[in-house]
Amino acid sequence: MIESINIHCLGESHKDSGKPCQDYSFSSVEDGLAIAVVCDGHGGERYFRSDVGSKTATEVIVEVVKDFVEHTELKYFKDSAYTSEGVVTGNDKKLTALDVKFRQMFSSIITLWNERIDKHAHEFPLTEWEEEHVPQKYLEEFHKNLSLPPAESTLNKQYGCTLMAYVQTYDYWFAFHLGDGKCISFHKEVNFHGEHKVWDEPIPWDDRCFLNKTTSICDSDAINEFRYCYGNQTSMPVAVFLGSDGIDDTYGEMENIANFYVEILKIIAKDGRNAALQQLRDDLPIISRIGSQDDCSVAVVYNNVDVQTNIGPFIKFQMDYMDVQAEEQAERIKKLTEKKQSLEKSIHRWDADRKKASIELDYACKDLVKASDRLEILSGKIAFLAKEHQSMSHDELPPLPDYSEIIEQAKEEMATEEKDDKPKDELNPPPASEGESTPEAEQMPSSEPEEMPTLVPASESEVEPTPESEPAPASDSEVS
Amino acid sequence: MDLKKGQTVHLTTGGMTCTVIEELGRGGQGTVYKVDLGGKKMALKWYHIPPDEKFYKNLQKNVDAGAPSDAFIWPEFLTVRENGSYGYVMKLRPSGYYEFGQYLLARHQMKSLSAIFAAAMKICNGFKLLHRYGYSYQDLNDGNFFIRPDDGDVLICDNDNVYPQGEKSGIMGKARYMAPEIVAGGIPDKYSDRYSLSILLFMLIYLNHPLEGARVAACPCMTEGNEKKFYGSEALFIYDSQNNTNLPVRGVHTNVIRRWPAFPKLLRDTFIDQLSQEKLKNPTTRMVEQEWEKVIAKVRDTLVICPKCRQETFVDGSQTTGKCVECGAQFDITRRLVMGDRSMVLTPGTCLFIDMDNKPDIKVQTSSTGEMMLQNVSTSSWNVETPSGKIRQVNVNDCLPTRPGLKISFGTSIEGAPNAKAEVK
Amino acid sequence: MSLIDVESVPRRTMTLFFLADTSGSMSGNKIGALNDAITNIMPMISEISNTNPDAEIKVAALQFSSGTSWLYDEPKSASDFIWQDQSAGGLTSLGEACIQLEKVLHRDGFMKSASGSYAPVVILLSDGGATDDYDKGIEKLKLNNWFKAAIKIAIAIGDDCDKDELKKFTGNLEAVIEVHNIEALKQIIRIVAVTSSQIGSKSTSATDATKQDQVVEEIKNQIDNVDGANTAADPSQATDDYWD
Repeated sequence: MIESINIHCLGESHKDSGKPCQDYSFSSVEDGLAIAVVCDGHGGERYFRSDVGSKTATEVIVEVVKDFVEHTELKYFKDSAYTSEGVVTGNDKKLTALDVKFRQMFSSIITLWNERIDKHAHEFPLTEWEEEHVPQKYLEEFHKNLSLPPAESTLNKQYGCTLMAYVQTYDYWFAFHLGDGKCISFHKEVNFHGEHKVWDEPIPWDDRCFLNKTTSICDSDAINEFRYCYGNQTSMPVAVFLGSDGIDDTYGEMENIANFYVEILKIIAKDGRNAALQQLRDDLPIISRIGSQDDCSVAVVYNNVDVQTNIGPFIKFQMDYMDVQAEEQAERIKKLTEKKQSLEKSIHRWDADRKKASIELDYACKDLVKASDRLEILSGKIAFLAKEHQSMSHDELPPLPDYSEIIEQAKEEMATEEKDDKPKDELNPPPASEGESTPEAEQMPSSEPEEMPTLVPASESEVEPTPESEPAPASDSEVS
Repeated sequence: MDLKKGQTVHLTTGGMTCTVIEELGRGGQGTVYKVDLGGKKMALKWYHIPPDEKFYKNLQKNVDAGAPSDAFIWPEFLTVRENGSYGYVMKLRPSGYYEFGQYLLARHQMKSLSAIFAAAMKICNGFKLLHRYGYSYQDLNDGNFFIRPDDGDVLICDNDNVYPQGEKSGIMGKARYMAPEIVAGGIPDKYSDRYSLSILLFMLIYLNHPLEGARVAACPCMTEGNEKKFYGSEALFIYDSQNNTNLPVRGVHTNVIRRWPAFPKLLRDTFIDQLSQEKLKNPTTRMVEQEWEKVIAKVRDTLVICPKCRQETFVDGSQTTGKCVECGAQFDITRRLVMGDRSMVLTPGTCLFIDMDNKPDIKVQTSSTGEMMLQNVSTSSWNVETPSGKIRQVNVNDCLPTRPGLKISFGTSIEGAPNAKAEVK
Repeated sequence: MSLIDVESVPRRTMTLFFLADTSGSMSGNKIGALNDAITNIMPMISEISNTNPDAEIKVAALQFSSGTSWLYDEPKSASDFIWQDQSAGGLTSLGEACIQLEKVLHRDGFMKSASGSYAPVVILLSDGGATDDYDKGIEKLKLNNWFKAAIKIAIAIGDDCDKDELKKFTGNLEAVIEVHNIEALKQIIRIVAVTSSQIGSKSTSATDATKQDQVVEEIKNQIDNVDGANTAADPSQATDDYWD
């Protein structure tokens, strides 16, 4: 059965500034039509009504998509395996009849969005909060816009947002995207690109979205900035997640985002949709706080039977991902050990490079500690995931990698360093003593061998919501 | 049936054959192959499903009649019916030309404003000749035109759908380019072609469709019913003077929003008139190609080189000062070359086009003393009469000063405008 | 089953680059002041990093003279970055420095994925014109997306500097700061490094001005209090060089 979940929550940094949640999300499954939408209003001062912009965009997308699906004949999708199109200027391909249909739908989204935000601007004068917090030049821009014809006004800037949607019917699916945020799909064994990988990035990326820059529905050339993909039944994914850039910035690498989504899929597989939704409601505000501090949204459409039957490979992906990182740390430990040993040999010579060598040695020792701590955590995670795999899947697992020897060796190496009575004061005193670093700065938990390396929060003090960071009220996390 | 590499195809002309070299591209109707025809490389369009007898006969007629002008990639040979279908042979499209649709998607850009208007002129000319031959073009769309971005040279392809007026090819064009009466089921003729011409010119110049504004863009799915409505029964120009419900939308119709106010008023007025409800509904009142050529010539008369930044800019010919849209500089535009109702603005570096062949006839130069000069870049000498009545000959590449009262007789130097006369004012 | 796994949430990072000219003309007071200043500001940068909820600051330093070399083969946390005193000698391979910087401004170099990262800060300190093919280097660097997004400030030490070269690096003259004596050099290094670290490591949502503009504006405000320093865009404030 096809199900969906969506949630958006206020980012930590918005709480301080008094800004509303500028993300908006939606999902629904009705009469065989599943829709998920995530829109992210821009944060800059000029975009002071982007919360309305993202909500409006979401509503418009849902309407337009329903109309599109109702009136588009199946023949357009019938023979389409997975197909993706990047931004329109990126290639010389002739538009197919379906491309033209998509373009029409995109123009409809932009047009209806513009009509509605224009209407909103005329119906809702500046609020007290806006008068007080928005820089004068943008208030003036807003006023001036109200008297201009729509095509000449820049009202769309005040409401600017990104948008992302996934749509699935019995017979076909499609997804489209304008701006940043990420869409990640999950698959049985082989992904859209024919790789033996359970996840994929189905929509082509737009390189103009980089760091804090993004394309937007309020761009003058928005119609040419849509990217999209589609396919028929044969390429139907198991699940498709949409996440706003608050999620990206929290997890960084694509694999790490996919890893987070598998955590959600595991709850779905084990305890069902409502449990997963509740968990997201509880945890997403906290995740935003320890992560990007930005508004965070997730919307997902999935086939619950397929999620259950494929949970084994999904967990296996997590294990492999942890193992790749563990391998890197093991390699690092090896290199650092060699470096440390060679530096120790040279450091006893009194020469001009002695100071440099001792700094390097200091770094090597510190990094060795970090690497072995990290490896220990990763190998604990792998073991934990293996147990989870066992309890949730009947698939056989290959033998687990064993890093205990490497960790042991690294510890021995560090023990020799402690015996070294090299006087510390000969070095440049490190500018900040360790005691000064705040918990946030100290990424790695101190290396206690007994520490339970896991999914569970590191320490209470780090994850316990303080009163002002209480999860956002229910009204903030719209649920379908 | 697809053709294979090395396969021989027989032509209807004198037992000739051509040999398939490779496939060049595939369209809805057929596949185009590169073929060898007696040592010459040509293109062969081979139909997937052979159209009917009437179509075949029409093709043969077109082959026999020959191309109206060099703008047409015209059917030159017809094949016999074999291998379950047939096709026709035409010239290969040279490189450096891109499909019109690619410009609409901003995948290619015209290099200059003068290139845009050169293309507009050439398209008008092509239509004029086509109609003079008694044809109408039935399958007009953004895939039939290929334009060279550097100079705006145009090639018109897919001429198998060119039919004598009053006959219908049976192959439907795209509704976006069809006159409302054709969308409603009528038979294409020169009047409907003239409508298509104004659509095409609008799109070439403003890079958006003149009927596609808010009303059309708001529609989530372009069903057949919607097409009939938006391009037929309820067709409404985006800048209709009586009805503003179909204005362009920011983010969708970017180009026209930017260019409409920046391009000359004459263009705006002409389009507002030609795409008014009256002209949409009364085919016979639509402007003929020659009138379009004159409008484009006049528009080009106000396209000058900015004396400050040396970029192209339009100026308002009714004013004495021009303002550069690129750098904002203001400059004097009182000096003109006047020819009938045309008033060509003179600034250093600007080229003047007397006739419609897109070849500059006069280049405005600056003398060593800083005076503007008119250089003869036409094909032969001119006679210039001074205010005092003296006659001087200005040979090719020679210059004359831009002194008011000087009268130029171009004689035979300009092919498209024999015995034209102009005066410096 | 909780979804919160602190371990899997990497702290967002911003990398602060120092590109330090250690050519022969820097010898004596200039290099001494540079060594002194950078060593002294590190605790401040570390403090910004540690108390900043938005991002951790990492530091990387490249010295260029006849050749170039990175101080360390990866960026170090501001809290344990140690500046190694440089000595002066040789030519000014500014072009090569650009090439070396470009090389590390990639995901497989010193940068992580763009998601979760802040645009880097690049501070260039130089006292003379490039002696190698600067144009080739800077043209390549300018195509780099990280560099495009970076906050770029150049400190021109003394009158012999080629301001046009530095302007090409920062994109505008406002971001080129001229210093004319030792004390000014020390103060400006502090102001530039601290200001750009503060602004560069903060989330951008607060304002619409680019971070580069904010940094320049803030430096402009502070520069008036420094004798012997001015932005290259405002040479009227310039005083004579005094380096002894």
